[in-house]
Amino acid sequence: MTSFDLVEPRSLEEAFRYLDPSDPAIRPFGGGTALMLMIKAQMYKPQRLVSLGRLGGRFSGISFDANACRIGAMTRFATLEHSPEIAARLPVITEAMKTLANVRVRNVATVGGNLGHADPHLDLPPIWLVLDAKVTVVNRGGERVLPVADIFSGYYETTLGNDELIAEVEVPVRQGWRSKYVKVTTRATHDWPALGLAISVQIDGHLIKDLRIVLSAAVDFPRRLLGAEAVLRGAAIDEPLLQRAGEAAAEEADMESDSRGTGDYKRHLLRAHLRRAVLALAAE
Amino acid sequence: MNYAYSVHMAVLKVDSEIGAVAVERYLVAFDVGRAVNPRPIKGQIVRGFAQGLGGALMEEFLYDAHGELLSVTFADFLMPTASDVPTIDVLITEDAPSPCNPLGIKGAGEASITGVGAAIASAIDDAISEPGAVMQLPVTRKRLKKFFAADSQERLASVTLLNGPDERRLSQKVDSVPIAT
Ligand SMILES: Cc1cc2nc3c(=O)[nH]c(=O)nc-3n(C[C@H](O)[C@H](O)[C@H](O)COP(=O)(O)OP(=O)(O)OC[C@H]3O[C@@H](n4cnc5c(N)ncnc54)[C@H](O)[C@@H]3O)c2cc1C
Repeated sequence: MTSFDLVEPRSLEEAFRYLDPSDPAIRPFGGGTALMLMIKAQMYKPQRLVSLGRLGGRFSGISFDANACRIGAMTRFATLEHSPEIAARLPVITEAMKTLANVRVRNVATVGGNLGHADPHLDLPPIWLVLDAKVTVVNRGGERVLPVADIFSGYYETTLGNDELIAEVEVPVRQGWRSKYVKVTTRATHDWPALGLAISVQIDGHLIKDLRIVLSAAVDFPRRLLGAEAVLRGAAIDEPLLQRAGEAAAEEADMESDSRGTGDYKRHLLRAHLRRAVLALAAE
Repeated sequence: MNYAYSVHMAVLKVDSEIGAVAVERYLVAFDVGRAVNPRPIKGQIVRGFAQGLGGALMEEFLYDAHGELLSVTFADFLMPTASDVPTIDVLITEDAPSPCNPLGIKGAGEASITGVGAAIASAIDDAISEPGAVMQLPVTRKRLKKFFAADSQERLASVTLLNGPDERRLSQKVDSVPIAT
C-alpha cells in the first residue's frame, strides 16, 4: 500500500478546494469500506482522500416530515439499522440490514459511499429505486436533484463528476404501500447475491393497484422491470398472472452467467422469487 | 487401538423449485469414552458440525481449465457463518471407554465433521426420493438443481445415518433424545 493524504474538511468550500474534477487519484471518502478494499488489492492508488466525516449539516442525520424521509449521505448503516423511525416507516430498510455485511462494516459504511461505489450487488440501491428515492448532489456550481436510478451508468460506474458529492437521499413515505427486498444468495448467506429483487406494491386485497419492481446484482446496475410491472399493475393476483409476470421479468432481464449461477438459473430464480414476493406482500 | 464413533441424523427441507437445502434439525451423538469436561466437548462437536456442513453444502476448491485455482478468497470459497448453521442437538455418550488409557478417553472431534456430508447427502436423497442421487459434495444449488425438472414442491426428509459399529445400541440411545422425525 502506498501512502496518501487524508484530509478532513469542515466546510463544503474547503472540500471543493481539495477535490479535483479530473484527477482520479483524488476521491471523496465516506466510511472507506469499499475504498480500503480496492486500495489493499492495489486496484486503486489514491493520492488524496477527502473525508466527508466533518462536513455535518445536510450530510448527516435522518429526519422525517409527513411524506418523506431525508437521510444524510454520511449516515452510517448502523444508524439506519437502529433507527426506530426507519423501522416504523421504512421497515424494508431495517429488514435488509439483517443480512447486510456485518456489524463492523455497518458501523462505518455510509449511505453516500454505498451509492458512490455503484457495485451492482449492493443491497440498498435497489431499495432506494423501488421506493422512488432521490439524491441531492452538490458541486462547485450548486446542486442538482436526481432520481437514485440516474446515478448509475454502468458496472461500478456513476454519472457523478469526480468532484461532485452526494449530500442526501430523500425517500418518499407513501401511505398504503408495502415493500420487500429479497437478497437471493445461492451459496452462503454472506455471499454476494446472485440477484437482488425489490418490490413495492400498493395492494387492495388481491388487487395490485400500483407497483414497482427493481432487479439488481445480476445486471450491471439496478433497474426496474417495467414489463413485469405492466403485467401486474391493475390486476388481481392469481397463479396464471404470477406466471405471466415471471415470464415477462425473465424476458426483459439480461442476466449473465457467473459463479453464483448461470443466466438460465438466475432467470428461474427471478420467476420463483418474484412470485413468492408478490404472494408474501399480498399476505401481509 | 480404540474407536471413537458418532451417529448423525439430519432433518432437512429441500426447496425443489430453487434447488436449496435448509437443515432444520440435526443430531450428533458421539461416544467419547469418558467425557472429562463435557462443555468443551459439546462445543467441539457443534463446531465440527459447522465444518462438516461447509463441506456438505458450500466449500469447494474450483479450478479453471488451466488448473488455476479460482477459490482464492473467502468471497469465492464460501464457508458457513452463524446464519447458515442451525442449532443442533448433541448427545455425548460414554458407553465404550477406551481400555488403552487410565481415563478411558477417546477422540472427540473429527467424527463430528466426517458424518455430516453423508448424512446431508442421504437426507437429500430421501427428500427427493432418489436413493444414491447425490454422488458429489458439496451439494451446491447447481448440483441439486439437476435433480429437478418442473417439480416445485417442498418435501420434508428425515433420515438417519448410522456411522458406527453397533447400529442397534446407538439407535436406542438416539431414541431417548427428543428429535422430531
Ligand atoms: C466485508 C464486507 C462485506 C460487505 N457486505 C455487504 C453486503 O452484504 N451488502 C451490501 O450491500 N454491501 C456490502 N458491503 C459493501 C458495503 O456496503 C460498501 O463497501 C459500503 O456501502 C461503501 O460505503 P463507504 O461509506 O464505506 O464507502 P467508501 O469506501 O468511503 O466510498 C465508496 C465510493 O464512493 C465514493 N464516495 C463516498 N462518499 C461519497 C459521497 N458522499 N458522494 C460521492 N461519492 C462518494 C468514494 O469516493 C468511493 O468511490 C460489504 C463490504 C465489506 C467490506
